[in-house]
Amino acid sequence: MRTRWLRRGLGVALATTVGFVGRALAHGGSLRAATGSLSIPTWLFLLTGGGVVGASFLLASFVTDRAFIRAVHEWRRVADAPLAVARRATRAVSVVALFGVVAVGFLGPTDPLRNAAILVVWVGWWAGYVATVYLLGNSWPALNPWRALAEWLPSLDRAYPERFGAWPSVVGLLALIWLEVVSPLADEPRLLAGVVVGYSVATLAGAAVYGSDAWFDRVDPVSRVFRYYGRVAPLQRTDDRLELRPPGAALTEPRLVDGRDEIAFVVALLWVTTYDGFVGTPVWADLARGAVGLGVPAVAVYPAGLLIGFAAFLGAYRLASRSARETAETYLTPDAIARRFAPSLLPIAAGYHLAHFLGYFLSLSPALTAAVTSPLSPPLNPVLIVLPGWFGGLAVAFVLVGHLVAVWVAHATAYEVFPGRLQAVRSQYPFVVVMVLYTMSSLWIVSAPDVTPPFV
Amino acid sequence: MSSETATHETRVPPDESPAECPYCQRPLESAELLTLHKGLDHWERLDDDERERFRETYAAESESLRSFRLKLLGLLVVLYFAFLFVYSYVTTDPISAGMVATARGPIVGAL
Ligand SMILES: [Zn+2]
Repeated sequence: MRTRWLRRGLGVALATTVGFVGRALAHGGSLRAATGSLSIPTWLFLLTGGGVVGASFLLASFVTDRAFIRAVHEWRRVADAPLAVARRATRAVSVVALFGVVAVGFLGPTDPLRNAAILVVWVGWWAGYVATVYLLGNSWPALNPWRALAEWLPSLDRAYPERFGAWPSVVGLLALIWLEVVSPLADEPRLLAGVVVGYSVATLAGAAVYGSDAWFDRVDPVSRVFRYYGRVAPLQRTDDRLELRPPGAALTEPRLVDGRDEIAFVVALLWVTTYDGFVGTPVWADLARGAVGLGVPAVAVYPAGLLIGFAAFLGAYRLASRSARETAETYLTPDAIARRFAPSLLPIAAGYHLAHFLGYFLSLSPALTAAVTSPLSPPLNPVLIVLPGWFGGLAVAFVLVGHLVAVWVAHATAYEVFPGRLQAVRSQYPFVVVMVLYTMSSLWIVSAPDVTPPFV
Repeated sequence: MSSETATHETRVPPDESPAECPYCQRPLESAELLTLHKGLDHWERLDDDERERFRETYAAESESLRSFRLKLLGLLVVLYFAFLFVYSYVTTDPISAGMVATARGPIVGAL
């Protein structure tokens, strides 16, 4: 459970016991620790976070020069890059890595801090690699080992049922997060290896039926996460060329999110980062115990919380889109507005990810290096970096920067969508309200006292 | 902006008569917005008169944005002083309090 150790932070968790260290591995450490020694009351901390986001909206609204906004978003440097050649090599390497993860997961040491499979998947891939996707560019199509395998295998190439759209990937994302929260997936190498095998079988079977293009473009939740995160990044790939653009500039393009299913996926991506933290708060513990006390089966509590929260997030976003139609006095449908502004949520999700995982990645990277260089006999006591105290402040800064980029992207998008500049600013009122509330609830989660989630 | 705006999905309330764009059929909420839309999205297809009309409408819009910006500035100032007041009420030293808010407690040693 990642959340369980958030409050104390990795540094403190590492200091306690070795058993502790193993469990701490699953958790991006520094965010909750950031508020561990507040000298101001929590409500003021939350209000300040909300105030920063609100003020940044006011500041962005000062920029009313269309030519300037367009210049920022259309600035780019283009370079030819024959990436197709390199792709064959990178995919071969990642297929070897996939087999290595499964083998070491089943055969390697059971201590998670020494097991290369655990460290590669959680520290190397989910913490470090994901961060490169939204900070630099989406290299996943060049690495995706499942896609490489699927393209080597025969396929039935059945037509993918259009009516399903992106919904299977929404379900897949929620299911993966549920599994991550309720199981010791980051502590038990054997379990992790089993889940990787299960995911591989499901993915390869799906790709064999519908063809790898349809599967990885539509169904596979992991590819979709990377595709959306990659749009936040400065490096964008177009055919055989690489474009360098300001971070977030690629998010203002139309048709990036097309349809209610894709809106749902973007909102789900934001919700799962929140859920992951929320299940570690006392409020969740009380809710879960209360629900079980009322006769709800304990196994149903986590999926129910996941789905109710997701529905609430989706509902809030839809409500904001509907009110934007009123505040902007536009004829655009709420759906059209929701589609256009959904990409502006992605920098927020990226900011939270970085805040959760950068400290975690840095602390454990020596252990990762040690385990990867000798996967079957890693050093008994891997070196861990203890992060300096100001690192927690950095985590709060990442959260806020994510929100600031989001405010700017929404501002630029509004200028693209609406012919009137005042209309564009007014269209943002409901979204800013939602964003301020969201900032405050996320900061509330990171500052809440940490408890062990019950019933897992 | 480009021809993609033509695909904007719209719904006009039955009792309203929108100004429809002759180039992409997008219904606009007022004649001014239609002029702005045509200038922004269909500049190449406009004649000199229409271009002149766009420039005038855009300039008028900039004028009304100026007073809007003043309101924004006022709001920012209110927000700033509200926070300054709250911080000085809660703590005695707002600047160091703000800094402590983002700093973490000491870390308990190493392994
Ligand atoms: Zn038009």
